[in-house]
Amino acid sequence: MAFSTTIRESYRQELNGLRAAGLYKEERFILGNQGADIEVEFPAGAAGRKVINFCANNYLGLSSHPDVVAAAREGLASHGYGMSSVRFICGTQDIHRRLEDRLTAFLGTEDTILFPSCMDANAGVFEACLGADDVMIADRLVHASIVDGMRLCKAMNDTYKHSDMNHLEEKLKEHQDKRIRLIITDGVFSMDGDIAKLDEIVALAEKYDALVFVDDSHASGFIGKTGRGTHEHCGVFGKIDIITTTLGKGLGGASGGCVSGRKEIVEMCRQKARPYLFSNTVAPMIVAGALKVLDLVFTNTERRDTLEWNTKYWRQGLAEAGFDLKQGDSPIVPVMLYNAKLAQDMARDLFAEGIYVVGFFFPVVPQGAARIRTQLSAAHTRAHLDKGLAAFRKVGAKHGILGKGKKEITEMFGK
Amino acid sequence: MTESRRTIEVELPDCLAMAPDDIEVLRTTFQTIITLASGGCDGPDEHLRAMRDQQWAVHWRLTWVAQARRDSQFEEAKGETKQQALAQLRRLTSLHEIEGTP
Repeated sequence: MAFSTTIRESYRQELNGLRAAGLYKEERFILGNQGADIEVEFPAGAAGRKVINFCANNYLGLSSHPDVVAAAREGLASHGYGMSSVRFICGTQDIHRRLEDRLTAFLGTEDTILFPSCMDANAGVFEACLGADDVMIADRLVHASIVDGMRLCKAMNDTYKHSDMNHLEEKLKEHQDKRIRLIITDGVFSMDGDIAKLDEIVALAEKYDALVFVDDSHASGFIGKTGRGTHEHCGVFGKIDIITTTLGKGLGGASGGCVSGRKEIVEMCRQKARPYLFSNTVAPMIVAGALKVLDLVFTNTERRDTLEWNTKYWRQGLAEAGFDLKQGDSPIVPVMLYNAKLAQDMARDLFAEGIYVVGFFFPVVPQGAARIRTQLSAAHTRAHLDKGLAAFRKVGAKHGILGKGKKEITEMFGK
Repeated sequence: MTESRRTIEVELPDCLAMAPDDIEVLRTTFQTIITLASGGCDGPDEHLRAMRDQQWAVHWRLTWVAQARRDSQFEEAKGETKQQALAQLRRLTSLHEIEGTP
């Protein structure tokens, strides 16, 4: 079929529709490496602007850490650039298995399998482990990759209201006739920054004979006293059946993800998970870099502790300035603005003040819940935070929202 | 439906008052539908033969299909009953409600 004028026009109309709806995503070019201080070219062709980055998943500030970069360089020299293979043909090196073992020890599980990304891990794990006689019961705010993975799986899917344990219990009762009940949740929810009630979820799982799945991508390396994740934070370390996480956020920020958990489940993924079977192995230099990242987070908690301090300082500063914040303990701190245009306008004004943040609105977040999601990093210094807070105060005052809550803001700007 | 019993069970609304004649009409209607859906039991067609050649155990039956559209979004669910199909469709559409953040 030719790529006719009609087909081209239909694509253009759809793209124009995204622009009209304010949903068109534009890339901003970072002129250099990832960090707290970056230079951004935006819009394309504009002169680079130096800004402080408050929207990266670079929680531990390891994305450009010299030890990690050096380890990756050594891995490049010793193990090459690529493997030109999937894992099970000729794509597994000694360092892949070593990284899987290190992740197993770090996460406190029985075994681990690497995937090209956590998106791939989530896309593959359910189909590999569940069948038509099973049910997946997911929190309604789980990550999009989990939703995609659920769609690819033949098991029945169901959801429970966000962090509503009564509703989850109802669903577990409803599905007692199924062979396997799998409760699915994020550890830290990426939109709101709140932490799953894993202690209560595990208790319900034990009561109703269910398995527990946690995507800890926004937690691994820094949530919990030693940074092992949400299960450590909630006192259920060792009790989670399946953990997926990423090497693309706190743990170095490059790419790669994993499924970690019960030995047999990991083995099922090794045999049946299609993103593992049909996609190239994680590049050797990334594996080498990730091993160094785990060395760093295993040996001390300094970066994790700095991140915790930064988060408290930032949250307190924004609250004292009069911003309406989503409550939580994670380094994701959403500033609630409720109105989509206000979120976009404030993000633009903050960029002009040298602060890089992004506004999120429907359908990315629920209708009438537009926000700016700020994300803290161990790489932020006190000076970064103070400059960021000053900019927020200035821009918040300009828009007249300081000290105002949802009711007043929506009365001023609409939903 | 099970092949050995050669019968079907149909849930009817509680509010529906059914006379014996009405039930007989329904029974005949369903038997007709089954006959039509099975191609009059004329034996396997080309597609069926091809699948069985590849060791697929193939069965078919009449079922409810429920569909939901919203702009470019589309979901479809099947069920033994209309209620089952709609319940599954509801579960599928609920996965669309928010896109989420990266």
